[in-house]
Amino acid sequence: MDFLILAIIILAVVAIFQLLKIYELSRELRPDEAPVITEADSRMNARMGMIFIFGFFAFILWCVYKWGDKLLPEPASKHGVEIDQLWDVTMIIIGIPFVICNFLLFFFLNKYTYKKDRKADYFAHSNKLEAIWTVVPAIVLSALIVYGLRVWNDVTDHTTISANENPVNIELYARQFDWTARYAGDDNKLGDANYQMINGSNALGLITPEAIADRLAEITKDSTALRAKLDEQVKLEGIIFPKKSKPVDPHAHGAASHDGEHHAPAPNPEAHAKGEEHGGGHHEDPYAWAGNSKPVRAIVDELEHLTRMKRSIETFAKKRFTSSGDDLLVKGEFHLPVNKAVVFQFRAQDVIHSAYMPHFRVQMNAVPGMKTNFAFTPTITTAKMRENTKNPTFDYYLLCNKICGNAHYNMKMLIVVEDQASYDKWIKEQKTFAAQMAALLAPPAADSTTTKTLVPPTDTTMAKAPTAKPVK
Amino acid sequence: MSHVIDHGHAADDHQNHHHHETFFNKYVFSQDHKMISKQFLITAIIMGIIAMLMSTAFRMQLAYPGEKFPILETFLGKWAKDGVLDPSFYLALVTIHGTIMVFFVLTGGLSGTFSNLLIPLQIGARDMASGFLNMLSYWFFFVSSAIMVYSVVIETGPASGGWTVYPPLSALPQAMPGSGLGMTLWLVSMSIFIVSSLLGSLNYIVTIINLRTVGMKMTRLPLTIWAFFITAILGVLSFPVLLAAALLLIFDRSMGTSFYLSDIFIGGQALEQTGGSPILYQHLFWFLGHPEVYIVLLPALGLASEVIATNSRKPIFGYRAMIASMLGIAFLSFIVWGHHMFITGMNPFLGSVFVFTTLLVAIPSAVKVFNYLTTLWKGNLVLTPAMMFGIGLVSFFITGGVTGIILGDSALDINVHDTYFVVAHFHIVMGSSAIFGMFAGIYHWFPRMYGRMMNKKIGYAHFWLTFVGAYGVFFPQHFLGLAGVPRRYYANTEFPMFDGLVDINVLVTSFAILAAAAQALFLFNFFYSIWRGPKAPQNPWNSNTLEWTAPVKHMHGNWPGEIPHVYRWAYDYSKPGKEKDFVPQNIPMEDGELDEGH
Ligand code: HEM
Ligand SMILES: [Cu+2]
Ligand SMILES: [Cu+2]
Repeated sequence: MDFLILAIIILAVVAIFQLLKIYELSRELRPDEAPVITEADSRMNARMGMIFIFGFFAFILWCVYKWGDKLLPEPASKHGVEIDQLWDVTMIIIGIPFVICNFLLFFFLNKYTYKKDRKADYFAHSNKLEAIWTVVPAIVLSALIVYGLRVWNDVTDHTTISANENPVNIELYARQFDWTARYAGDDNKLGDANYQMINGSNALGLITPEAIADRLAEITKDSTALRAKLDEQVKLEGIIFPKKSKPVDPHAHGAASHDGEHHAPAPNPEAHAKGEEHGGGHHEDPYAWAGNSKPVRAIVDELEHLTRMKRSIETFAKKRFTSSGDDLLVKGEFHLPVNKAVVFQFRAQDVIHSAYMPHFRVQMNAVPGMKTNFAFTPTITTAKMRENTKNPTFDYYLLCNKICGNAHYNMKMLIVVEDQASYDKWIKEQKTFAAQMAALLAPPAADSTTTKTLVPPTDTTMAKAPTAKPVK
Repeated sequence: MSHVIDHGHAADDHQNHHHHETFFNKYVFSQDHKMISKQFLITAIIMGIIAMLMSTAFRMQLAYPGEKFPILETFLGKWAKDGVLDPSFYLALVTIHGTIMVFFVLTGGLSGTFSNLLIPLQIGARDMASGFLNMLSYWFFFVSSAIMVYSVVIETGPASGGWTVYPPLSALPQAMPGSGLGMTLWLVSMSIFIVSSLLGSLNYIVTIINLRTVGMKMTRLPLTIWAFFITAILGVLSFPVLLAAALLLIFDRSMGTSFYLSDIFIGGQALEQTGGSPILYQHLFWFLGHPEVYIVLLPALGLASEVIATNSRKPIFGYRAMIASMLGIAFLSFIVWGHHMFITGMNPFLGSVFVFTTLLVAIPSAVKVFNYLTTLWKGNLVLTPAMMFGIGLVSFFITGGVTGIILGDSALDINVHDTYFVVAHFHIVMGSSAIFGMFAGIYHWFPRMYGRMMNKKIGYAHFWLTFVGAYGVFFPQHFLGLAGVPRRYYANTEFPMFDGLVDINVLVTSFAILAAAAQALFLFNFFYSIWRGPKAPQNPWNSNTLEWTAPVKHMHGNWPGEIPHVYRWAYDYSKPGKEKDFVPQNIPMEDGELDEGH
């Protein structure tokens, strides 16, 4: 390696020396002497071309020799074998024209180098030749398309797996900058989730009765704090608003949408003076009293947002949902049983990520607002792969392969493929979401003054989540 | 040819005005296509140097992750504390490098330089249809370049979400520092760039359709003009879609709309936007993005066709097939964009359709390669520096083209998508090819632009070092990709599986430095020759096209008297029965002579 670099540097130095020499020469050139390209120039470059093309092919072989064994090992999944076969066939099909065309290019350069007294062949077109090299690639490509699409169908068709093989269901959840694997748990069904549920104790926004209660309590707490802040700001800015129209009250507001009692407060005279017209079709600004105060507007907006979120959570709390309480959440590494189908679901919290598991020939984007899927069957355990590659530290990895921010390059999870027994043992040690959340929310033993209370669930379709009373 | 307008009388007007030329309207706000072409070229060269230096900086990081290069701190300040490149600035450099190379060097620069220089001169016109729009096109280009460069030095750094700027990453300032003001500037710069590109393209199209000289039928146009023509059409049809995508992104960023955003929790906040789709952006982006690679490539292929035919002293083989394949590629380029999105969760059936259309592109591409090879076959090859760059282009087009068949095949793309395999592929087939086409053009038409010759020996040294350098940089990257190394990674040190690959990165970086250093040869040669190069003869390459009949000395209106008429196609090289091995297009046919161009 070092030798090569040295060679490159020497080459560069030589080039620079030549440049200096050329520079001298060029100064001697008479300005008016027409500098034509001589036969010798052409010959020199034609020779260089020949050296280049053999050098290039040798370089490719050297790369293969040097790095061939550092590439991905044999595919560790069922469909991966199919993909690799298609790969090999394609490599042969493209390798042939690659070698031949590149070679001919430089061969012709050498063979038909300029000679003053030779005349080129005036050969402008030939329908026969052109037909041949349109039709032959067309046939080859058609074959490749058909073959490729068959593999693609096999790889992406998950219906048979889902229907027949009782697969393991796993969700890979991406966010800046880590992965969480969620196993479907006792019911082998991934529970529901919603991004509005996300908070400190529920990074995936999973829906369980306890999580709903926790989240609603949190929203209430947040809006109470915000209202206090609003009062302060209003006082600070000396804003006066009509008695009836208390700033915003998320709770009142939520309930009020039906009874019409909570309409906008009368717009204050100041706003009018500033030219805020309330013409025919215009909606009245319910917060006209805030005038142009940016901080007040921001707080009010935030309060409204919390209200809407609360309403939205209450809405899906009322619907029938699959609780995620039994799902197992793991970080850092996840395990797969060998020779058993796995159906993956992918979600993302913030930006697009991509779940890349190169050893299994798997890649699928995780897109916010969307669920994506991929199913496959791992076929080689980590231990076996270590043997096969003669690398005792070999490991499978999940990488993030869609630029997602500064630490994109370090967003990973270790994957362990093992036999069913070891897998069963491992999975038993994992904690359910419900357990993890309870542990997080449990008041520390010494300090029991926390106001949060969680009512245990009675049934997965709770009509209404109890909320802690807001502090006035 | 009733459409051909003879501008003979215009020449006199132009000459009368000659002495009114001030410094400003000759060199700055010039409406002369030749001057505008030089303005585009110089701007593109400066942008190219910037983008190239950026690539050397981040290549150093990849080869020697975490090592200290105090020089980086000198230049980058807080972005390279203690000489170690910051991850966020690494991404910023990659993003701006890609953006500048693709749009500013190889779209604005390449088309701007050669469409402007060659369209009027090769079709026999006094100037572009609208000199004023042409001038605006350059100045919009200049302003957008300036904004893009300025965005690099602002406090929060430039856009860093990759040159494709996918939302939500690019839409949310909370997601990364570069998504703040830097991203806004990126969008502003690109919007202005698109306006520039549209003004230019419309002008090219109108000029080619309306201002051809007497006898210059479409079927007698040199392939350069055909390439510029098709490129301009591609640009007019696809850039507006990018503009739309950018506008919607601007709305999402600053007006709370949710075209591309849905269900996002970031920075401790659940955003209100719902119902949008990040994938929508990708559809819009790649609807431009794929044609864009041909907007970059076709002009380069056109230049190479002309250079290769001239220096083979032989007609281009299959003139009509070359046009047909360009049209085929252009048409197909509008229906293949989905091959960038196979793994976004798109319906697999839709993926199948894109596999089909994508692999079809290989057919016209193969035709082009075979036709180039046949043009060389039994030629009498004068290996000028321009010719060498043309040959280099063909080689890259082959090498990079074949890996396109892998990436276009969805099942294979699963594993190499977004890895260094892709980086290798597009740098070879689009980056290196197009840059080599551009160099071929510069070496070939330098005498036409500046009336002087470039030094051929330095030219050869430049070619060989760059050619070897480019293959040395980009070929080994295939192996990185096959080992599963993702692109846009600040370092490969976090995965034990990449430990054995440090060597490749060191090798690649060494070649990158070599190739970058070789560009000093070019810069010296270029600028030295502008002032000190030997005076160029009228037709240094014994070429057939009209630009070599125009006086070397700069003048408005291109030809002092009447515009030459055209009697034959551009490729009568080594025609049997002719004394010389070339017959310019303005030489009338002899009795009984057949015109290949018809
Ligand atoms: C001076 C020689 C060049 C070197 C050493 C170089 C190197 C690189 C490297 C290492 C990357 C980062 C890959 C990644 O992490 O994704 C990159 C990205 C890129 N380069 Fe170059 N490059 C060069 C010239 C070019 C040229 C001529 C083009 C014109 C097409 C180009 C276009 C791009 C693009 C579009 C990207 C992707 C940026 C992104 O990921 O957003 N580069 N280049
Ligand atoms: Cu990520
Ligand atoms: Cu494409």
